[in-house]
Amino acid sequence: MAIKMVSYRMISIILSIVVILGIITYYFLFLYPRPTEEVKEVNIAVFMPLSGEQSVYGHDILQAIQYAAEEINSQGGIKSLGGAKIKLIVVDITSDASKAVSIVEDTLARYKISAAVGPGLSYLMIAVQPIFIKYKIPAVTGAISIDILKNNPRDEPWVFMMGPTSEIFGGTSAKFLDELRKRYNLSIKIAIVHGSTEYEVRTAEAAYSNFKNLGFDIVLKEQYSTPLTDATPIVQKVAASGANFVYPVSYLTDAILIIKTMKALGVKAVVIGGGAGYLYPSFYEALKENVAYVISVAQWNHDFWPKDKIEEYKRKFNVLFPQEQVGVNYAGVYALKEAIERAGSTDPIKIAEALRRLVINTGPAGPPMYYGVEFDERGWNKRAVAVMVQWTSDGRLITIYPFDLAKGSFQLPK
Amino acid sequence: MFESILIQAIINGIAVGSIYAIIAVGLNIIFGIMKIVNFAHGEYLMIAMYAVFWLYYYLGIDPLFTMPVSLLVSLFLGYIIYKIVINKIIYREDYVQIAVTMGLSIFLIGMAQLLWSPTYRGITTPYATYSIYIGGYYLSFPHLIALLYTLIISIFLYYFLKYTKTGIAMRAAAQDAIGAGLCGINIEKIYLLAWLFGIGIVGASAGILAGIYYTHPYIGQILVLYAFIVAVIGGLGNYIGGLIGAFILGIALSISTTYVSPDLSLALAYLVFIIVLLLRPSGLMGVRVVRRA
Amino acid sequence: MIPTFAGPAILRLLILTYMTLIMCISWNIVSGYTRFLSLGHSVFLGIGAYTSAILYTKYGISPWIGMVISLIPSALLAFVIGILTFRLHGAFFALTTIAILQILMLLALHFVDITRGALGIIYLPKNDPFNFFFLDIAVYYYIIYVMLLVALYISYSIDRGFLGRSLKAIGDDEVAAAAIGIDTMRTKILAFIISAVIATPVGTFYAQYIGYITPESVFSLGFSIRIAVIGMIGGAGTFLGPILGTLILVPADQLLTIYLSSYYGLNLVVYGFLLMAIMLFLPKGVIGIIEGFTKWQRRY
Repeated sequence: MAIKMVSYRMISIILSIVVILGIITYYFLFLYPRPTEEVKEVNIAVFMPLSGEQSVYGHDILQAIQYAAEEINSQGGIKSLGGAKIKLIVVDITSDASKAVSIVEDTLARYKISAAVGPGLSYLMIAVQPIFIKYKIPAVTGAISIDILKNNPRDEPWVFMMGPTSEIFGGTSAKFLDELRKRYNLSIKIAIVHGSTEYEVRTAEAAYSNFKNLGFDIVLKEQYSTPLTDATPIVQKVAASGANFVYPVSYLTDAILIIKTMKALGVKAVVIGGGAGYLYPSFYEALKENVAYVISVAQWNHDFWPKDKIEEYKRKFNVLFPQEQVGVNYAGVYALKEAIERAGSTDPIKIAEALRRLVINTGPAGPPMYYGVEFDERGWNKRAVAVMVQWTSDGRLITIYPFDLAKGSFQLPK
Repeated sequence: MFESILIQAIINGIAVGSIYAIIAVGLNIIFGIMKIVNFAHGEYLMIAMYAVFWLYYYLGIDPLFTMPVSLLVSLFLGYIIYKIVINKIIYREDYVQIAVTMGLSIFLIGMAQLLWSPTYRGITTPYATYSIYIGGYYLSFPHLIALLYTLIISIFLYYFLKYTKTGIAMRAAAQDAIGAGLCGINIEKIYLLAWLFGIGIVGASAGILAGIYYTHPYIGQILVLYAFIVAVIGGLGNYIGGLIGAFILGIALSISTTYVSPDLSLALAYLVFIIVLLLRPSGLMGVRVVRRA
Repeated sequence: MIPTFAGPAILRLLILTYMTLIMCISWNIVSGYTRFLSLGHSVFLGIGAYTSAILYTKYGISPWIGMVISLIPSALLAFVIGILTFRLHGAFFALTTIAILQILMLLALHFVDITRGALGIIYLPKNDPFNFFFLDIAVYYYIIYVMLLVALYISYSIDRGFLGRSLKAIGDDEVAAAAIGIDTMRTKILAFIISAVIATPVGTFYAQYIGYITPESVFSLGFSIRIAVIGMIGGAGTFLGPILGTLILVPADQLLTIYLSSYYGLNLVVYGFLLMAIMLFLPKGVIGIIEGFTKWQRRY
């Protein structure tokens, strides 16, 4: 009788406490949602001119970025972050460089951004690049002026250029002209005309020095103030110079005016554009068959993509074809994606480090750009090359040089 | 390409000069008769150009055929603005007129940006690249039309002002408004008429200009600056002087851009403007504008 | 006097406001009182910016000294414009100021060897006090604040002094002013030169603070017109007018830009409308409203 001191009541109480504790422990041990490394979204800021004179470029580039992000997300997002999706924070920086600066700074200070895509226009990118460095947020861009990288601390870049530099534009243009000269045994007199913005001036300078080095006769080098209201003065100067080749470097509206005026004034020089405006679907839409035989240098041309991808893009965005900056920025988003994968984190500093070490040889449609992505100590993609493209009278833009990347052969009028 | 660069430059200069003349004529009429410097003059052109553009964009109508519409649009707008704003400043001081017309200009440009965005709108008509090839020189078709328009308007104005009753009344008002009023001329009506004339001439030309220049909120301001230079050189208030001034400026700019540089030539145009102001403020043929003191 | 615990965004807004305010005060000294509207006032800003920038980048002369040197071309320019156009109809003065502005802009664009043309002159951020470079934005704030105080003092003394009374007389009725013995040409030119001298250092400041100048940004027609518009809305020809106008319109403009940036052009619509309304009905500007109100108050 002495051992049986506990009553039924006590046992039931103790048992209930144990069970309850057990349930609670079990819950916390196995069922409670863990604050895991699992992140839902990665914030990528997209800074583009969506209003003002450059809004057309801004919107086109934005589409390409959205396309790339959707593709990535639908294929599982960032695997190393458990399938986190890319979230684009789209910001209109306007076409005004000084406004852009305050808008970018405002955004980076306010939101938690992991990486950014900067505007594809050199004069805007140059204005905003110090901010990325200041806030230590990595940014990729399709702009081409090498000055964009000049604030990057050596060996520790924060701003990354995806495409060829204006120097390469000039070099490729010169080599192509050399081919023309040899093939057709031509005496070439070139007139270089260009607008007054960063990209236009740099590309023209690069063309000038490269043409000179290959011994071409440059009969004119003239700057006009962007944007043009009337192209007659500049076209008159071209005509007066006696050039049979003209190398204009212009944004879209000036490019259209120049070609239109050249036709109206009977100026028959062969046009080799310096990129930008001469690559646009709107260029064809405004000029129609007048674009025939116009050649231009470019960072990328859509015939690099497989046909079904081109068709998909055309259908989705209702464009004539994906223009130059589409490919460049598409590759840029993929470069960011790869960097985030390898960094395994949304921390911009880790992503920047991954970008510096990044090497991509293939991507969803072959290598991004033409030969892949690998950034040098300045932040430039040293695998980037330029190509030459030519228009047909029905609005097709075909890559014609270098020959190993060409999809068609070049033709000269007459 | 063509035999003489110089002659081609002169031809181009005449062509573009005719466009400056179109805008300057309106300025001159308004200043000559109402003594108002209309800083918003370009904006009526701009809005008319938008009207032309939208008709082209949505209905596919060729800009040249929209002349009656652009004329009506600009007259309508001109009339409303006259009744609300302009008739309140006719008798006010210089600076009020300048300030109000400037405010109007800013307001209209702002509205255009708000409604239609600053994107450049271009119209490329099938004949935009056509040109007439005479004697070895080119004259582009759209510019030819502009030239014809200027000639027609000039001839019309000449006869109107010289031989019709209203025209003579306008000239009287320009010379001495009070005296003209004493002769029984209804000055208020003349002012309104002069205003509508000035706006209408520039509004009707929108169809021609929309095929040559891009349509965007600032096109009016850009073109009107040339018109001011031209009007001052020719004599503010005198439309014949304006015509002559326009062609002089057009040819001079054309030649200097061919042989010198586009930027410097424009600076030269402004310099000539200042020199004319300095040496002969009434321009070649204009009304006396030197103040007392 | 806002101490440094204000965040950078606020400081930036204040610096922008003060720069515009000094320009408006400068504009007011000549155009506000005499009613000769200068529509190219930014030309002095441009001269200040480019002179000091060129002297520094080409010859290593400190922008502090450059700021003083740039006063000379500005004063000369004001003198020349004045001599040439003050005897003409007001509109000619306005057009000439625009023409001079455009000429200088085109020259800056063209002579690329000196000014780098359209690419502009870029300063990398650094700390170099002897050469007017600071990394801390607060220092720039104090500098512009001091400049503002100086401008206010000059403006106030003019407004209350003999020069101000003469200028107002000229603005009211130039013939009458001449009749009572005021040398109108000399007075106007003097005012214009003072105005230029106040405006020019802002140009140098702009170059050092923003670190990026281009012909279009400093020889800006748009900015010139804005200064004139703000001056007129606030109340041209008064001491407080430009101050009130700037303090209301500049922050409003910034807010519009940030929050309603998709409604591109809205700020122009507002400016234009206000300018017309004020000029038509309240030519004394906002100050006129307030003055009228206080007078009404005093009656009761």
